[in-house]
Amino acid sequence: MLSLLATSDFNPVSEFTDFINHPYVDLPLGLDINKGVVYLWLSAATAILVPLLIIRRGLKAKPGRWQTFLEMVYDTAYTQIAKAGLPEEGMRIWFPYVGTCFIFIWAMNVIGFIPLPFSGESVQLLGVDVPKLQIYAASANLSVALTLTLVTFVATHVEGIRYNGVVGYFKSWIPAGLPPVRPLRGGSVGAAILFGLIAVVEVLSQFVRLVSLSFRLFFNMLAGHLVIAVFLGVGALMAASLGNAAFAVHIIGFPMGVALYLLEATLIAALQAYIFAALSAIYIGGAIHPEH
Amino acid sequence: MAVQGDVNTAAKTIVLGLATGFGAIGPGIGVGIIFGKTIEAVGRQPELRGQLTGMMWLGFALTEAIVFYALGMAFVAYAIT
Repeated sequence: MLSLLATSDFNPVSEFTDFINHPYVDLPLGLDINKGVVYLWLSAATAILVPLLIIRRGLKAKPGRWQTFLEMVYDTAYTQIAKAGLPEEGMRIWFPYVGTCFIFIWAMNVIGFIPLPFSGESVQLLGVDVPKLQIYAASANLSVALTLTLVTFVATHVEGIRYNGVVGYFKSWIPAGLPPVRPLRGGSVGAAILFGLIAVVEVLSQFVRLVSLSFRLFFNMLAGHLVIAVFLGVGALMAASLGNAAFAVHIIGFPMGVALYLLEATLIAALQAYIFAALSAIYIGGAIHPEH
Repeated sequence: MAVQGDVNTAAKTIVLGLATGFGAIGPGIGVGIIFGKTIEAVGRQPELRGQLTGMMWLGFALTEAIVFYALGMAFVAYAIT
C-alpha cells in the first residue's frame, strides 16, 4: 500500500482494491491467488510456526525471553479471553478456537505493518528492478474479517441449540420478567405487542453483532493503514499544488506518520485481536449459558 | 481567486471530512470517560486492577468502533453519489 518511493499519482484508497484485478495466478471461480491470499498464508504460517519453534527449542523451568513471551500470550488467551467469556463446559471445545483467533488475527495485523515486497510493482534503482516495499494487512479486507465473524456467528447458534435445545435457545433470547403472552386464553394485547417488539429487537441485535464484529476489525486496520499512508505521503499528495512548499508539509507529516505507525503496530494490532477473540468467547459463552 | 475544478468532488470531500469528524466527537468523549472511570476505580480498589483493565479494553474497543461506522458510511456516501 505504502510505496517506499511515493509518486505524485498516489491514491491511498485504490491501493486497497487494485490488487484484486491483478492476481499473481489467475484461477477460475474467483479462486485467484492475489496479494491478500499471500498475506493470509504468511499470517497462518507465522501463527503456527513461531509458537511451534519456541516450544521445540525446549521449555525450561527458568524461562528465557521467548518462553516468557509465549507464556504471557497463552495466559492472556486463557484467563483474560476464554475464562472471562466461556463457561466451564465450553472451555474444552472453544478455548482452542478463541485462542487461535487471537494469535491468527494478531499475526495478520502485525505482518500488516512490516514492509514486504508483494506489491507486484517494481522500480528502477541503479538499473536494477527492485520490487516496491509496501504495508498491507490481510485483515484490512472485509472478506477476511467477515469470514472469521461468520465462523463465530454459526458457532454461537449451533452451540446454543446444542446445549439448550431449539425451543429453549430461542426462548432465552426473550428477557425474563416480561408479562406472559397467552394468545388463546385471553392474554392482554399490550403484552403481545411488547413481546413482538422485543423479539424483533433481539433478532436484529444478533445480526448487528455480525456487522459490528467484522467492521470493527476491518475498519480499524483499514483506517490505521490509510492514516499512516496519508501522513507519510502528504508531501507527495500536495506536491502538485504546492510545489516546493510541500517539503514543509512533509516535515510535519512524517514524524506524525512514524508516531501513528508505532501506535498501530504495537497497541492497536494486539488490541483488535484481543477484542475479536474476547467478544467471540462472550457470544459463544452467552449462547451456552443464556442466563449469564 | 476564481473557483476552478470539479465542485462536485470538492463538496463530497468536505462532507467526507465533516461526517468523520462529527462521528468522532461522541466516541472521543466516550473513550475519555472509560479511561477516566477505570483510573478512578483502580484508585479506589487497586486490587481489582487486572479485572478492570480487561473490561476497560473491551469497553474502549466497543466505543472506538463507532468512529469507524461514521467513517464507513462516509466512504459509502462518497463512493455512491
